[in-house]
Amino acid sequence: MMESLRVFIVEDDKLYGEMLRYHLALNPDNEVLSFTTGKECIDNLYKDPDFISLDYSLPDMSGFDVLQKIHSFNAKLPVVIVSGQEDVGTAVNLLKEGAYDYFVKDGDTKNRLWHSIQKVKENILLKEEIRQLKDEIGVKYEYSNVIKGNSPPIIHIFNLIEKATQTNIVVSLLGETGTGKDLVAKAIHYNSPRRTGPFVPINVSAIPGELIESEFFGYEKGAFTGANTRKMGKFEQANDGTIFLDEIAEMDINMQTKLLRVLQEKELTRVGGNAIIKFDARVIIATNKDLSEEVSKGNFREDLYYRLLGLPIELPPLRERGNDILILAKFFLDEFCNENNLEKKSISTAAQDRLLRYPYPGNVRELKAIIDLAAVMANSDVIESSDISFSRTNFDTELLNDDDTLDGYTKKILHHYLKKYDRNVLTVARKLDIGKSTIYRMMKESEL
Amino acid sequence: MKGKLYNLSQVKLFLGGDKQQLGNMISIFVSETPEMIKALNDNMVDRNYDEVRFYAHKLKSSIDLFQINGLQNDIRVLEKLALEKGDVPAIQQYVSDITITLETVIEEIQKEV
Repeated sequence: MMESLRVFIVEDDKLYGEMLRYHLALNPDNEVLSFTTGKECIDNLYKDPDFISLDYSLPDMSGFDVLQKIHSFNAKLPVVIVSGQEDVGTAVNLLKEGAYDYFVKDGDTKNRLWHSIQKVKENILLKEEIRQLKDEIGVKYEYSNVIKGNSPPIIHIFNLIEKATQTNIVVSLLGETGTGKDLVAKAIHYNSPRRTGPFVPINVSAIPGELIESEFFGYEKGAFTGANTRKMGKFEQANDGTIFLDEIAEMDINMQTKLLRVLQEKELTRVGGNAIIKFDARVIIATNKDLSEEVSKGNFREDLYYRLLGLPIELPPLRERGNDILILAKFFLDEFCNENNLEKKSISTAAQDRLLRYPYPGNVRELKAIIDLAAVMANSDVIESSDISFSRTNFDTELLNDDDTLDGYTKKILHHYLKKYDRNVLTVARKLDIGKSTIYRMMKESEL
Repeated sequence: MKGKLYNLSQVKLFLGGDKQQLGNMISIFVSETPEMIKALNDNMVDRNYDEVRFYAHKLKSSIDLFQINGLQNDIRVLEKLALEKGDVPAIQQYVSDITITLETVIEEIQKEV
């Protein structure tokens, strides 16, 4: 709910000023203060007005000078110029100087002012709504809400995120796919002083090479075929906020050179343009590759690597997070049941054991998929071991997670290889580096 | 019978029957206008036509608000002449006519209150 709107009327014609004051004060939400000189208005700016109606022709200062002084105090303050004469040139200059609008004094001026104030009120309410939503997003991205778990590797990550939020240092998020790099990037942004600014994510690998420069830095109208209007790039969009460059290792070497220059200078030029545009965006990068190795291979510029390394945060794979697997499983299960209006479910001890033994090559993302499916497959309010299915591609990695005898493991390995190579004994023998006859013997013994 | 030099219907309409505010507006007109008339005349004598234009400009909204007969056009002509600074006799004539009419209006309107 908005408090009252403070309106300044600056008008040396006391009669006209009184008429405007009376009209605008008819709305009890408006607190109207009248001044008859430019100086009086400027001296009272500390009262923090939300809107100013400014007579262009004041006895002590021109409306232009007063407008400049108001905007040097608060550049975003809406100021409507009210002038006794229609002068297009003056109007254009005032609008260029940042006047919110320009009205010629006539019988309808008070109504136009009324509507302008309504618009300003709507804008203030919208901004307030956006601020509240951003605060809500901030709460949503509190570390503990984003990253579930209390294992030592995750506690370490919390500490690093805390450090990352306190400065503007570049953060490089490293880790296997599915470890939650994007969520950590959002958590850093929404817990940093930049939280009210935009968070602009960009997946480098998803943008065709020929478009990446214009996506990053924008373009001017006519820069290339199809550029019918000027477009702001992601770096400009991220001004006062954070830009998140995901899969940075996929960027081609030419673009790396351009990115390095932009990051060094903190300014850019739109494609097809000459104007230098300053920007102030915090940079967070992510990759599932070893960037130093990419540097060694010549795929990634060394100077860019050092500029982007900043604070490295290496997200642990789920298989190294111990009991976090169960905490996450419970969280995903509750979330899925809630979203799908299913009865709340629990996970049996056997199912928990099974979940803990699996290595999760797809990390948290894979665990979520497994739990979602288990919730669907379960016939009661308890997830049983049989409700849990690991993907076929992970069968081999599950092999060693079951307790078994050496003989049992040997049989499983042989079974797996025979299946994988279409029972081609010669190939299996070569792969396992044992003789063909041994394979045949084992097949006979195991009835494979 | 001679008609009134001014018409309060527009300002009454605007105030929606708020008599107290009507009295307030008339008081402001009565107290502020003589000062502006004086400034208009003083500056004309000093041949300071930029200031003549400034005060003509300022009087315009009061004249429009109280719909003062004949002056709505005259005040605009005076503003234009003062801007051009050419026809001094015409400026003097307009200032004189406007002064007389406004002084009469102030007298009449005070009686109404």
